[in-house]
Amino acid sequence: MKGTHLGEFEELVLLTCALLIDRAYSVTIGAEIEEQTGRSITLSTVHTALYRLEKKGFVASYMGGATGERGGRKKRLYKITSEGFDALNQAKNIRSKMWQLMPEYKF
Amino acid sequence: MTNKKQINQPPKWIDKLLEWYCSPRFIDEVQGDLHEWFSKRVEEQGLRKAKAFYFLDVISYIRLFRLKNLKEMEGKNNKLFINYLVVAVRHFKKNFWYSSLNAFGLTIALLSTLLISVYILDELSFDRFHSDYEITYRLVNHSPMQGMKWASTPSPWKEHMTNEIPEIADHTRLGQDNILVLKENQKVFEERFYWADDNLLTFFDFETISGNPQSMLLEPNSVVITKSKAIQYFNRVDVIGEMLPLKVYDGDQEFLMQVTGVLEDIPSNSHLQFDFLGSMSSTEEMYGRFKTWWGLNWLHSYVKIGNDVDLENVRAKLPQMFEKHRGEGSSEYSDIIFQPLKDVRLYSNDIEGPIQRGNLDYLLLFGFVAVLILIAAIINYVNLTTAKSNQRGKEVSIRKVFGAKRGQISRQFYVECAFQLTIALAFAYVLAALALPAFNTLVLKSLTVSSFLSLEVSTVMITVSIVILSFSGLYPALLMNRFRPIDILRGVSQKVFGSNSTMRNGQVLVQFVIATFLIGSTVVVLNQMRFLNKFDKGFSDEQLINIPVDDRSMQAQLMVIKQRLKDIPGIAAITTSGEALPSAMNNTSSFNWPGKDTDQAPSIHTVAIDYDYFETLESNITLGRDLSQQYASDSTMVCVINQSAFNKTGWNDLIDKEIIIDNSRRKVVGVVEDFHYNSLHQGVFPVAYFLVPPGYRTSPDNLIVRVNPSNFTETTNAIDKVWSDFSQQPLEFSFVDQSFNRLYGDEQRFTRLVLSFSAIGIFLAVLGLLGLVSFVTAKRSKEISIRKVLGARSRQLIAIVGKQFLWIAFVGIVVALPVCWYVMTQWLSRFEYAIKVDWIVFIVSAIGAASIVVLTVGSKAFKVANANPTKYLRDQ
Repeated sequence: MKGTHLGEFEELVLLTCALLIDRAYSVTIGAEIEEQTGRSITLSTVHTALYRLEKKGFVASYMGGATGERGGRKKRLYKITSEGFDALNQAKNIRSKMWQLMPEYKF
Repeated sequence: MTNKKQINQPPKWIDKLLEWYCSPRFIDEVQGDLHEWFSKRVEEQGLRKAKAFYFLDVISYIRLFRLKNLKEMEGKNNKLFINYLVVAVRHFKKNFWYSSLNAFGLTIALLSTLLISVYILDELSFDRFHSDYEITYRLVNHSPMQGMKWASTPSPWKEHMTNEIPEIADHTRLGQDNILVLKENQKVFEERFYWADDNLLTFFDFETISGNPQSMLLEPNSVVITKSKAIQYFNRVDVIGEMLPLKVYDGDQEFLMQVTGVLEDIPSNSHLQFDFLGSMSSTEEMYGRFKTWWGLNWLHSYVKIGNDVDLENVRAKLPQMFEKHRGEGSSEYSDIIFQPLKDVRLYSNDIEGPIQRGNLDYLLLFGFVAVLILIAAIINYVNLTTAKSNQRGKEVSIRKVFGAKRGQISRQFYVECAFQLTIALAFAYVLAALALPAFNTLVLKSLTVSSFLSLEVSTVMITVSIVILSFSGLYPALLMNRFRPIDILRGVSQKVFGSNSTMRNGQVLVQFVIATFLIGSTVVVLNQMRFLNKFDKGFSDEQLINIPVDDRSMQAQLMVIKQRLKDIPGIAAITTSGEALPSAMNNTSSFNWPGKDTDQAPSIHTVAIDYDYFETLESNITLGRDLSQQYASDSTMVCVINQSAFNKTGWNDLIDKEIIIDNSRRKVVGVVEDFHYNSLHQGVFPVAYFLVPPGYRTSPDNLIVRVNPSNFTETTNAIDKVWSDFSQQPLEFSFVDQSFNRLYGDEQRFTRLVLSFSAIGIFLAVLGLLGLVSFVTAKRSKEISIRKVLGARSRQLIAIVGKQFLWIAFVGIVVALPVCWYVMTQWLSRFEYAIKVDWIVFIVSAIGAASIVVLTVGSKAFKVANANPTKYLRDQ
């Protein structure tokens, strides 16, 4: 179970990865999360999360071409796998199921 | 454009760091990503912030999976690094005992440094957890004429200072009282009870668990208690609203207090230590008249003053305030010192008050011992390493032949040193954690293992490690580089390893100085402590017990209690007194006599006693007579003074002599020999003894009893029985001799501490001395053998070798003893009664250290001189 569990931050990364087709790598993902959530992100956490997701089989990576702005360094791009998509869906379903059970609160 | 690009590059050295640790499998993507992220930051937050964040990013990228593995490390410029480690491990295994000894010395030194620095840093951290500690001051009551300073202050200060000195931002006070908690099944005497102003908990930052710090001390009859007291009395923490009945002894009044707040237990590094805070407003009725009483020094006061300019203004306004309220000229004998809160723990030695204080001198001495231990350990390490350099000579030569550069050879020895240091550090931390409980009992602190990992302690340990590494690694690294490989490989020269180099003599010298110094000071400290224990106080404290009677209603019946106790057969003598034994003397008055010089303003302690006081204490009346019931006037008009008061007056006899204490005249009928009512840190001040009837602040509130040594339990049971007829509180008493010893608790703790660390230091220094001396002697074994072949006698041979070390020992003594003398004189000057630093002590310690050297040299030389010369000459 531990192997396929999706942490909160991992879920966020996976979701962003799914949104950014063909240009998902740590910098774009980090920037997108910063923009969407307003949190400030350390790049290494994104990178580590991606690494873990890849180990779990939720994303697949491939090397992208070198560009000038990175001083000729290659980048590792990520795309979501079908297992990853299933895991996202599952997480979403669990949540919506629980939201339906939510009693009405008045604060 | 190009220019801009160049500016916006992340710092090169941080990139180097990344390249250094990061595996090549990741470096491209990681560095690329980081650079992009960096330029994003530059746009958003500016270059400086981006650079700072870049460093954090690189650090946070360190993950195990991204590190270079061993193969990748070899692949770059650290090709031999692994080899160095392997060789280091091999050497460790090969010379297991010798290497263990080496690491053991380092471990002990690091352990001592760790414990000492934790201790020192804890002392330095006192009261700094209050967020405003830098602008908070304790008010110290200062009398410029007498030169006395008290931590207790009178009540009216606050009102007048707040009204007349607007620079004072905040002002709070608290005053101690002894109470008896009157819960159904728990009648407990509590001393850590303070009445506190309503702003105390907003003034200081003591952690609250429940209740509102703004208001919990506002209402009368409110009490705030600590967590552990809540558990003690109510078995739970959330006790707001509970009622706590208690009796205040000094006011002789019972209260039913409501708990309005619960605090975390007061941290051990706070100089203010309390368990209960009662609202000051509760005391209105009981102590109402104290509000305007300038003469009653009872409260501890604290103020906040925004900055130094304000502080100067405040000081300037003080004389005006005193003149206005205390009459003209009062500013000459009244003054307030503003003591910064952070200095309260360590700089309060000259301030009278019941608060536990630390001592800066001790800390310095402690740090000094730590440094000595470190030096001894470093020298031992260097010595043990170079002593084995013969073995390494061939290895180093081969490395050089194969093209190793100087830097590489040095690096190898640094790596080896770092390797041993790491092992030693790990062991030191483990051992320190194991030894911590014992250390805590020794220093009366409650330090935790987590303090080892605090930023300050880590900084100290890292610095110490770097110092050890650079010094311990330096000499072997230099030495190993100094010789020519060809000599070693051909087996020509052994001399390069320095058998009589100045370096080695220097090492022997330093070790010798350390050993002599530590032995000498240890002996002085021990002597002083023994001296204090045996000191004649001027009265007999054997079998003497002191029973404090804090309850005002009991004090009124003190004579009745005394009479009933007198009938107990186990009691040899009994008396009452206004001061406990030992006592800091709580009542001090001005002291005058007809014919006194007017420009003097001496003061005198007053003590309320009973007719049989001096008889019970077995102290001597040297002139005149004791107080006696035969003379009716003795109960009101007469007093006995001590020798020191008599000397002050300059009288020769007591015929028609009177003294004026504050405003009342008393005839002096007798002079009692000075006796030490307090610790020997202080001398004996003038004291007047006279009778005071019950009901006054100075009335007798102690029973002093001399019991017969036999059947002590029976006697105390009998006392307890009488006591319980008068009080709900269990009987508490103390042995006077033990209480006196406790006054030196500070010194005793310190002594034990210094002794234990000195022992470690002496051990390391002596170990090193032994090693060095035997090594140097072994180096000269060829010379000795040749001399022997040529006809020298054993005696002459030993003399030749011994002479060299006697010289070193002589120089060592010349260096060590003056330092030792200076440090010890400084320490002894804290005592009013101290031993003279005796030259005998020094000679003993010097002989002790020297004999270690001589014996080692002697036995080694003796062995060589008596052996068959061929044994040492054959190998060439």
